Amino acid sequence: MSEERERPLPGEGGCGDAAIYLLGLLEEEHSRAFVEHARTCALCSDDLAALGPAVDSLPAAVPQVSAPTHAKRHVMAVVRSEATQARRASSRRGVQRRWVGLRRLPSRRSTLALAGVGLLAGGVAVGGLSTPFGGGSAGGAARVVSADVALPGASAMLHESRGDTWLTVAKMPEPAAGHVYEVWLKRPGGAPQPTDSLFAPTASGAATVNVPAARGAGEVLVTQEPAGGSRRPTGPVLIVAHLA
Amino acid sequence: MGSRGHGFLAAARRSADRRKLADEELMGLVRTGDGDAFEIIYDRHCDAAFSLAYRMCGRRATAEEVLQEAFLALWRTGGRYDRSRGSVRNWILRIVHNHAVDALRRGVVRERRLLHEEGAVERVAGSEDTAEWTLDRERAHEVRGALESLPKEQSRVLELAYFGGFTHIEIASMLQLPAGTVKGRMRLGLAKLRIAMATEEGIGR
Repeated sequence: MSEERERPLPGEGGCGDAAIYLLGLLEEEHSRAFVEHARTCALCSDDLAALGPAVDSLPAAVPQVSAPTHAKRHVMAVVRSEATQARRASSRRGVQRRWVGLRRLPSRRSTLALAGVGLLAGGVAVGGLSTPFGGGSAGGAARVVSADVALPGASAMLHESRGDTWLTVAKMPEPAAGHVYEVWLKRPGGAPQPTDSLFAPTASGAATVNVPAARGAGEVLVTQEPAGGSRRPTGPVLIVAHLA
Repeated sequence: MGSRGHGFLAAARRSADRRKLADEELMGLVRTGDGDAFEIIYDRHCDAAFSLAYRMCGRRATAEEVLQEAFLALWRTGGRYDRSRGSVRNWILRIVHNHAVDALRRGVVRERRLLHEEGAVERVAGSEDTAEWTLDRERAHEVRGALESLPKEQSRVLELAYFGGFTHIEIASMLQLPAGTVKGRMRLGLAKLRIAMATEEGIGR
């Protein structure tokens, strides 16, 4: 057999496990143990340096396939929405910090002056929050609406950008066999109207779907419906986002 | 020109400027929550990422899930990128590989595992609906050549481990070999692969 210089290799995550570490075969605990070990083992450290580029080259052997364009829409809808939320949270923290800073002004300052500053700070805060969708002068007019979700652990939000509206969900359970989730639009005083947006989340419970013609709707709803969708909701409302 | 026109031009210029940045510089912006920088990273690497996921999972739908999960993980953990540990592309492909292995181990693509067990692993992934990319073709040719130059028993364990997502224990059981022998074949295979590629690149002397 041509197993030249094969060494007997004891345990998991121990000396000589550089190859299986680099190939991602070690459990997390053993992986950590190996990294610790390699810090002080010249043999394993050399193996990591020598074998790492070989593992990194393996993806290049794969026939190249174009990624589907809808995958990008999904990913970027989530990214844009999270970036907007983070910016808003950050500016909210900034306003809060400014407000806290102002409250730390010496108490001997006149009550009237402090009240005036407080009103000003409150005005800034309210102003900042009263344009919850971050339109403003940037011209991006991105808006994000958190939705109420009746499923434990799941979350959902609407993201509107450049005239398109997207519903992004996370940690949604799989719909029952033969069922899908369906998106509905509800105008004030009207009955829910079906859309073409039917979806099932990924294995991790994530999904992003377009919500057509959402402009003017008061609420966006999601129910679980038989595959192919329904013309009227047959199940309870699982997600509701208030747009009005 | 109105302020709106100026705003549009400024945004276009900013976007064009970003596209000139190296991956490592873009990752610095991603770390600050810059979605535009992330989009450029996505555009540059999504095909390689999808190709790897598709090769491993054997199904477009699963590969799409892996692609999306991996890039969202990348977006949320962009701060963990450490340029001293390699290129952005290699880092992304490692994340994709990990997610694909998770998908395989979740049993999402059991049929794929059966295919592997039946020895179909040597077959190159189907090319339906695919297009070879000229840019990467040379590199792909080199790596495939290097893989083919390995002794069969070494390339087989590497393929089963890396593309099939099987652990060395599973491979040992599948091939009825001691686990130590499988580990040894992996190590030797990778070492030879490295040498073969260095030789092909003309830097192995």
